[in-house]
This record gives sequence, structure tokens and C-alpha cells, in this order.
Amino acid sequence: MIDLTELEHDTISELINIGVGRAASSLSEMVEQPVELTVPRITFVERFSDTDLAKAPTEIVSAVSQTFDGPFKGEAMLVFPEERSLELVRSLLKVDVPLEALTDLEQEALMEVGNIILNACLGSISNVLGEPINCSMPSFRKRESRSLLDQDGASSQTGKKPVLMILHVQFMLRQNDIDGYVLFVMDLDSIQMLRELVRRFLANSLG
Amino acid sequence: MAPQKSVLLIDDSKFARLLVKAFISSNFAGWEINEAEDAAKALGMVAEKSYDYLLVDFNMPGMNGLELCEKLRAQFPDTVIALLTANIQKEIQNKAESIGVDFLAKPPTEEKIRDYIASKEAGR
Repeated sequence: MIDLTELEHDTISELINIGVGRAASSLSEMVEQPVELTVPRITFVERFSDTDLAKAPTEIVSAVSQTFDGPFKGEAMLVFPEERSLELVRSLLKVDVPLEALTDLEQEALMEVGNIILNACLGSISNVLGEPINCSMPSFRKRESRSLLDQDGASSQTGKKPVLMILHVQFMLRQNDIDGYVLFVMDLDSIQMLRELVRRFLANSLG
Repeated sequence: MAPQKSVLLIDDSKFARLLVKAFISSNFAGWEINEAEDAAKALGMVAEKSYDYLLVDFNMPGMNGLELCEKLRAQFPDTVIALLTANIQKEIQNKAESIGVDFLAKPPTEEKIRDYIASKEAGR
């Protein structure tokens, strides 16, 4: 579907690895415990339901999403199971808050976590490639995982069938039994531009 | 007893304001800490009262944090102003430096906020 060389594939994975590593460090600071990451995985699909992320299609997930725009554009998402989100908020708060207020704060807290995590990812990638990336305000959605990318701008703007590049990294907070994942979704034009920037970066780096 | 200082937290995230406020309150007892959720409200508040510290988020609806910092720096050359943001891009850090405001990367932790303010207080 997209013809990446092995080196381009590795470089994009490494870029995401650096970005998510920075994000994990931020999350670890916030929850004061280690955050484990899986190796980033890149897949190209035409529909989100084609990914193995949709294995539990009716599972309700909480997701914080930010669109980004620059030389390439797309959507970045932080996703975790709904049932664990209050637990995550509790881990983040360093002050005692009654349960009722905690529930009120849930969405606010998750949006701010998403903002920090996704900006850490995108900011690191921007810094490595030397290309500014503009990020939108974060938005929050809670829905079945199979509908995660509904209203995805990248897929609705183009008349042709979109190609999505899904960059998937799972993170785990073992002390709280929380796991989630980060997704980057880009359409074909953006993937081509990212590949071009990666080629330039490699050319400069390798002399 | 150290003189009481005043802080204005400007961030659209209520959660971020809650955390930073808690960190400052627990380390600098008696300080006055006010909050604004956007630039427009912040500009109204600084017109009414002068602050010792202005902590400004970058990504906010309406005017962004850097534009706000530029205005604030022009109006208050001696106030401590810091951009407290998740946006760690070098471009943003360089712009903050060029307009004379400090850069603090989110997440806000108690140590980070306490040490930053303590260093500023020590330098006064």
C-alpha cells in the first residue's frame, strides 16, 4: 500500500519511539511510577476496523484527540479503557478530592493528560525533523472502540478512499493496572510528506 | 515572615490550575493565587491588580500563550512571567526566550513549581 524502505520504516518507528519516550517520561512524572512502553508498530489500513486494535469493538474507551498540522497533518490520540480512567485521574491528583468532584474533574484531567502526552510526542518529532507542527486544542470522546475514528477529518475530507497510517504504542502503569495506547492517524498525502522529510533527515544525518 | 506574593495562573485547563495552585499553596503559605481560563480574562485581571508571578499556558482558545506573554511582558517589565506548557517544540522555547519569558515544560510537578519560584525569590 505504501512502499517504505526498511530504513524509512525504522526511522519513522524511531521518531515515534523518541516522541512516546518523552511522553512516557511526562506521564511517569505525573503518576510517580514507571511507565512501560511497547515497541511502536506501524500499520497501513483503509478502515480503522481493519486494525487489530478493534479486537474488542464494543469496549468503551476514553480518548483524547488533537489534530496537528504542519508539513504533514493528521490526528493523534491517547486511548484507554473507560473503566480505568477514574483510576488514572486518582493517580494524577496530588490533592485529596471527594469522589463527586473527582468525577467532575475526570474529563478535565484526562484532557490535560492527553495534551501533555500528545504534545510531548509531536514536539519531539518536530524537534528531530526541525519542522514546526501546530496542534489543535485537545478534544475528548468516550465511545465504543470500533467508532473511535468516526468523524475523522482525514477520512471525510477526501473523496477518494483514504489510507490511514496507524502508529500504535501501548503504555502500561503496572502499579495501577492501567494500560492504554497512542495512535497517530495520517492520510496518504501526509504519509508521503512524512516519508519525504524522513528521507531528508536521513540524507542529512548520514551525510 | 516573608512577604506574601501574588500569582495569576492562566490556563484553560481547570485541572492544570488546580494542581499548580495546590503546589504553590503548600510551599508558599499565604500567597494569593488567582486564576484565569483565557487571555481575555487574564488581561482584564492584570488591569485591575498587579501580580508578582504570571504563569501562562500556551495552547488556549482565543489568543495563545505566547501572544499573551508578549503583551504582558510589554506592560509588566519586572514581573516574573513563565510559559508553562506541554508544547516542548524548540520553536516555542526560542520564541519564549526572545520575548523575555521563562519556559517551563508540563507536566507541572510540585518540585518543578516549588524550585522555579524559590529560585526566583532567591534572586530578588
